[in-house]
Amino acid sequence: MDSGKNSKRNSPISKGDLLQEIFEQKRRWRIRMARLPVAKKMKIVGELAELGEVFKPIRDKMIRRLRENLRKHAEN
Amino acid sequence: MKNIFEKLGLILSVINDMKREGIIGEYAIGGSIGAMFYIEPFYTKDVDIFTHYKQGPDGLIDPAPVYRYLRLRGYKMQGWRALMEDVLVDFIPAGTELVEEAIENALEDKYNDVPCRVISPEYLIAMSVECGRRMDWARIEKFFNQQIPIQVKRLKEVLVRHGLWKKFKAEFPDF
Repeated sequence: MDSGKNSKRNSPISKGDLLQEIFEQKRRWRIRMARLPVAKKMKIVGELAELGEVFKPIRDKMIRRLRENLRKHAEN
Repeated sequence: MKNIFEKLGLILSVINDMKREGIIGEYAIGGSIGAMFYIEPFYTKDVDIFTHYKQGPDGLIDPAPVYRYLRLRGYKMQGWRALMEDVLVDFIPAGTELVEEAIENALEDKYNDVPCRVISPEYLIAMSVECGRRMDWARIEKFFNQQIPIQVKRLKEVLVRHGLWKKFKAEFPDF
């Protein structure tokens, strides 16, 4: 027989409940982030800027390709 | 903005020097960086400093002393913004009564032991309502969703006084 713990783990969770749980966790996480000291927040801003620099060439390349494809479609 | 964590203190101490030497009047940090003193961190391109510029003989605001001072301290201009310690800093003149009030009522704070003035949440929200871009409404939502202590009565007073209440209510009818 399943123990109570196992039956809880195996109980089906609806997609709606799961989404709600994810949103709730995200909300709680954002509140925690808002309460960080300002200097720590600025460290995160710097890291986001660095990430942006890493991804910018990739994003630009994707946009360029998308534009080319759209132009080709328009020509045909 | 990569080095903002280390550089913001240095930038703020230069701005404090500018105020002490009379290059600018009273100032307050606003925009995204101002908001980040209260809400979660997010990506931004520049630091917005709202300040009183000196007036020229014709009564118009004169940004020349600010630019001259920054150049003397070794900083370059990029368009209308100053590139200070690799961070773009926008010195925005107090152009409306709302901004003037926001500077006047700014809160004293510290960044890594450097004293600074930050626009209060109520005025940051009101200024976002005044701008009314999609990103501004999103920022206001962050203030409401992240349990930031906002003085609701004061916020309403500011919005009503500056004719922004209807615009705000149209976006947040349940407020």
